[in-house]
Amino acid sequence: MNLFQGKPKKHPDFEVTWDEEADDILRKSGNYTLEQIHNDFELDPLNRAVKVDPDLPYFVTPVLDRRYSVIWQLSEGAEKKIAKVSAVVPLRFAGVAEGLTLKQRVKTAVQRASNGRVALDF
Amino acid sequence: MAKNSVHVLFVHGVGRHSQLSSLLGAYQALRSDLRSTEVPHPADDLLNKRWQLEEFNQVGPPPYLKLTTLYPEEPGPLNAYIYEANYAELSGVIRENQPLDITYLFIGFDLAVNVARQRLNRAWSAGALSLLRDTQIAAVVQRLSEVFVAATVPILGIPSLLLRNYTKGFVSNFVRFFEDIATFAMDGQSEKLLAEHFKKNVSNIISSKQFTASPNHTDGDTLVIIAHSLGTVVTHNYLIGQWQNGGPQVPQKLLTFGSPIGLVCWMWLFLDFQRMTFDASGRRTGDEYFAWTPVPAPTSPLQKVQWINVVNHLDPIATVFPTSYASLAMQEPALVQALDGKAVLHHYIRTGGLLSVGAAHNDYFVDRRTFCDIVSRVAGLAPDADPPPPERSPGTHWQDALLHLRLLWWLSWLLGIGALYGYFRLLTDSFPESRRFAYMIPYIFPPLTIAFLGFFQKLFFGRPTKRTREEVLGAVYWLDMHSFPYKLRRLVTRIPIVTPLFALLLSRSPKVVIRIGRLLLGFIPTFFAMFLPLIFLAPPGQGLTSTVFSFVADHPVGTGALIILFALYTTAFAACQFVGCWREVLVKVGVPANR
Repeated sequence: MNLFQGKPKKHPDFEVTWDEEADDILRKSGNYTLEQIHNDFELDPLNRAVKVDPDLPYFVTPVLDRRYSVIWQLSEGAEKKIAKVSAVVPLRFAGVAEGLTLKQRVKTAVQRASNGRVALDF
Repeated sequence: MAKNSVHVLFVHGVGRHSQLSSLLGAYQALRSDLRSTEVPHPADDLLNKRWQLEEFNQVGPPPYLKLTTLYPEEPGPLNAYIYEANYAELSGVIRENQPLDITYLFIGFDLAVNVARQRLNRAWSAGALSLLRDTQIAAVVQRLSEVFVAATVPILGIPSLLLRNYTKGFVSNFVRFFEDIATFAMDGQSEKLLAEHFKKNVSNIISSKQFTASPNHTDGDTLVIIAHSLGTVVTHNYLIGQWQNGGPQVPQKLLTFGSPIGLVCWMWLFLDFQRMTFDASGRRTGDEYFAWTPVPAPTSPLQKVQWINVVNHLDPIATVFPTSYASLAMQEPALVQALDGKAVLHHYIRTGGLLSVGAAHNDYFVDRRTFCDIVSRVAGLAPDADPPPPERSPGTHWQDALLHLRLLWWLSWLLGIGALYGYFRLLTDSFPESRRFAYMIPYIFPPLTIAFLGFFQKLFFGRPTKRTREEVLGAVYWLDMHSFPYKLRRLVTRIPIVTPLFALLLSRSPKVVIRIGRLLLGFIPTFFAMFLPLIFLAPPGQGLTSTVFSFVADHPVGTGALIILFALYTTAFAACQFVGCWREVLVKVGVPANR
């Protein structure tokens, strides 16, 4: 973290909210990691984002050199788009897992990372 | 990558010699930022919380770390075993039993280069025009070998002895590096010891209870070898052996970094083969420099391997080599069938700038964004499916290298000139400045300084070796500035009284006296070159020798300072010449930036 860098930039079109459970997962790796992931994600939530499923408003965005993935829900607010973060997992979701869709992989990974405390509504 | 387990064997180059050093070094580099002075933080863990350490087996053999994935549904292996083969440690044991003399090692190498270079020049003159580029490279290699010969004066000679409290770390690394190379390349028995040790390590991994083998690499565990520096040469040798024997123990993936394979293969072709043409027919001249035996091309189908080679900016050991060097005996069309991607895949990284040249060879793991990503992918610790982070292009890499080498040449030259000026300032305090500069002129040309030091080292110690016999030495040219001192020495030693007199002296003297005598002898030309300007201070009728000795007697502390400054000057000029030759080789080879 650069102390002289000033406030981290945020994407002007997005309002980002972080679920408590998502932050709890991150705190296991320390608040420093949490801040880095917040900053990286809030800079541009749609940067290299992939839709979890064509019919769902959920996205997976790789952050921190693609070491983590942020799972979040997109909705339209009055002035800005809203990105509601549900969980962060230490995976890239690259490649194809045998017999599993991305939706299933994300759901399983989130359950593991949060010890079952986060249940995604899909 | 198979779903079962991946087994990653790290093969050491020259360097630290404690057991587990590369194993823990690689593991720690992936899990924390080794350059950070803070206690490691989870934010720096490239494996995140995806992998957990399940077992640390220090017994082996070989010792290993077992990592297990916490996300078994994700693509990739379930377990990762990390092993190490400590080549340098074993080599150290071998050399402890039989130490080498580095001065003779360098001179022997220089002599062999002389012989091979002149042989190549003759072939080119006889019409082998395709050898033009190799003859040009050979000329630069000759000057490079002379740098090593000359550098033994300040690095191993009297100056180093006087400053041993400050230089012993550097000197021991310098010596150790070349001893290790000689052990594997020139000492046939030791090469076999190391090769067998390596083979046994791989065999132990494959036959261990944790390894699920499968014929044809289809659905069993994955074997990955990640080798650094000289470890890459040992691994290359292993791969050739496995291909040759149709052996099943070929790794599916091979990552080499900081690898001198390009340099070593070229040197082998240059020193031991006629017209740079690999010949596995079994014919030997008996004067080969390397201890290796050329093996013919394998006849059975080869096990496929994915070979990635990584080169760091300004790493003096690392080479990019043509795919044909993967097996010198094979025709390229057949060889590429055995390589995933039909070639050795080269990647370029940059961990530092202009002054990183001393550290570049050992700093690969510092590059967490690109190099650690490559390691993680090759080792199956990160998914290999999404696009890798952007890399340096070969053009940018070589362009930067050529520019930085030019700057380094000037920097080391200026450092040498600074030391030289300090030296002359101290020695000729009473001289007017213009006169002092006039005396400095003969000393300011690095090639001249190195040629002077090299000339006398060769003259004093350039005896025929077991690899370059008297007859071979007799055939090199008089009219060649690099081989002239050898011829002169040969002529002098043929004077009837000289050789018996030396033999008598050596047989009657204790070893320590011989050693000190040799150091003093090697230092005499430097000593006189150092004090040559004093000739202009000598009173009428007094010679240089008596002026020098009276100066030394009158200024003992000042003489010490002079030796330090002169050693700094010669070392800086050796570095300058080394960097100049390195750059020239890149230009002659025709790296992309130069095209």
